[in-house]
Amino acid sequence: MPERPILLRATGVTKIFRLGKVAVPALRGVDLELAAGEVVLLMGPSGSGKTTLLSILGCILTPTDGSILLMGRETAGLPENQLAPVRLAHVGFIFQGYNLFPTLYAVENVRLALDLRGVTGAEAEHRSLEALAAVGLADKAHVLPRDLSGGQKQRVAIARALVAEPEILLADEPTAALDSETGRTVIGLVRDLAVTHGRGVVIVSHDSRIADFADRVIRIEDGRIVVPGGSPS
Amino acid sequence: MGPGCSLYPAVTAMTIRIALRNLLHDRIRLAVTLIGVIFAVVLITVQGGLFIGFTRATSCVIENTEAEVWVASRGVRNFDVTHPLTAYQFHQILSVPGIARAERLIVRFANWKKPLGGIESVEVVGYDPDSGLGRPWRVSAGSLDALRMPDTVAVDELYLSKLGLTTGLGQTVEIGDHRARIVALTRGIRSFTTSPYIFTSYANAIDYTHFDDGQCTYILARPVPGLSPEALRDAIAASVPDIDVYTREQFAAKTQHYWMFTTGAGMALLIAACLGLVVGGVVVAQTLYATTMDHLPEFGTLRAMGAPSGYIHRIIIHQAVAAALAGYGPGILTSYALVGLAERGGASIVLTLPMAVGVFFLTVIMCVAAGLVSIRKVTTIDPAMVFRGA
Repeated sequence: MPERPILLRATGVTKIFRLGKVAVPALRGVDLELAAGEVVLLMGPSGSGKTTLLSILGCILTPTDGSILLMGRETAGLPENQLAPVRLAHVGFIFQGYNLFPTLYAVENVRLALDLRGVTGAEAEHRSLEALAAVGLADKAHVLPRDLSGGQKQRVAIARALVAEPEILLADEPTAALDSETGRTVIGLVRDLAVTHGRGVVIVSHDSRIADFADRVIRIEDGRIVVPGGSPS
Repeated sequence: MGPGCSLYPAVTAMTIRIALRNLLHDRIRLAVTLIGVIFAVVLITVQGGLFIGFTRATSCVIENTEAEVWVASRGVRNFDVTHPLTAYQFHQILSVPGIARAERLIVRFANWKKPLGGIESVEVVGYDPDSGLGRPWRVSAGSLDALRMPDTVAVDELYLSKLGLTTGLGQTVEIGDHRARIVALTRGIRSFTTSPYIFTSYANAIDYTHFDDGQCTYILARPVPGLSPEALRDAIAASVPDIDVYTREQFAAKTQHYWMFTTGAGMALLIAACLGLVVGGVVVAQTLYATTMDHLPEFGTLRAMGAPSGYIHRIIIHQAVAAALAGYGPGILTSYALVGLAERGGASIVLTLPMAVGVFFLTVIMCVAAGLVSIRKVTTIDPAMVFRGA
């Protein structure tokens, strides 16, 4: 089996938040790699640094120290105006609270991701409908988020994250607001859609039941990786 | 709206869709926004219209005369108040080369005794009926030829009630203790002061104002063909001492400037118009800001997704422009209605097409400026907020 390319490599990532004069370390020298077609599950207790790590991997936060190579480009230390284009080009996000636009129809929420990348008109409409169909919501294209169930909203969010075909997909507690079965369905969908297209996926979750879907489970506590991954248990 | 329905075609820019949906999302807030815009439009238009109306009223007699050059006593500051010129000065001016015609004009305040008792102040304008320089315009009833007769005057329909008149034509009053019979009516010749213009012949005006025979307030001159008003003005100024000479446009501008700015009347109107702009802008800024705060998680999501700042700014600017467009229409229609009402009340509010267009652009600018507060807010959103459950 040929070696899969590394999409994301974090080396010695440290993040210290300053609360007034107090320095609060959130991450302490974290190393992590994400290969194409790989699903990594980040687990750990609240306050362990999972979401901070996800934010840094997604170029939303910059590390205090360490290196982030995203698609071969060093992003640590870049200012926000240079990080935003990197996110736009390479990263798709799935959020715990779905973060859909309540005033836009499902298809428009998906289309938004393409619009940001300059894909408009009929092509954008076509691709958005295809993405919705891929998550099983072809018949909900012109429904507002308020009229969708939690699972349907998260599937719209997945379609939005994947429609622009980013190499990396980052998901923050994607099943937290869903019941167990819906959660498994959603994660299964993420795995199917991402892995089959060679994307790398990092999922932050408390939910150990979704570990079955991950290639590796990394456990993080107090800002350090305590179980560095491997085969899922 | 039901599934499958959309107000917007597929090609509508996403930023416009988001902006319009954000605005329409909260109808009450949208109503407040529109009321703010309408308020600003009405206040700016009405105050601006009053300013233009008053400005025109101050110089309407000057601008409606055919005389290109106005001669006044030294130090004249406006049309309404100045020292008289002498008969000698009139003859000196007549002898200046380049004059095709020069006539005397009397402008002087006088007391008007109403038919049923009571006094009103009026501004008598006495012109030479033969030349017509300084005659009234927009005659709606009667005849200007009748003003050649002794003790005859023309008044404006707007002031019939103020002057204690009923039918107007044929009624007799006293001006400066002299008999005056109404033989002509005009329509829409407004006075900037509280004293209506009363047009009469030069000869009658001497009786009403107690000027000496030969005296006048102004000498109106016309140049011979081929000579410019400016050249005639300079020639008169060089030949006759102790007078001020202006072209018609210069004197109109001088009078306008005096009344609108030296007295503060114009500034008061302009300040009121600016106040409308500020108050409207603040209302719009507040409601747009509140709308932005309502949709902060979405703006945060856009930032996290890597949306360029310009994309997010466009949404807010589109919201502002949409509010301006939606508020301008009702605002300008309300203004037209108020102008109509004011016309009946005797107030002079001028609402021209260029002014309506100007107010439109001012409204858009006001709303976009109001949106800057929101733009500043979304510019500083931390994209990491999306991971904090915001």
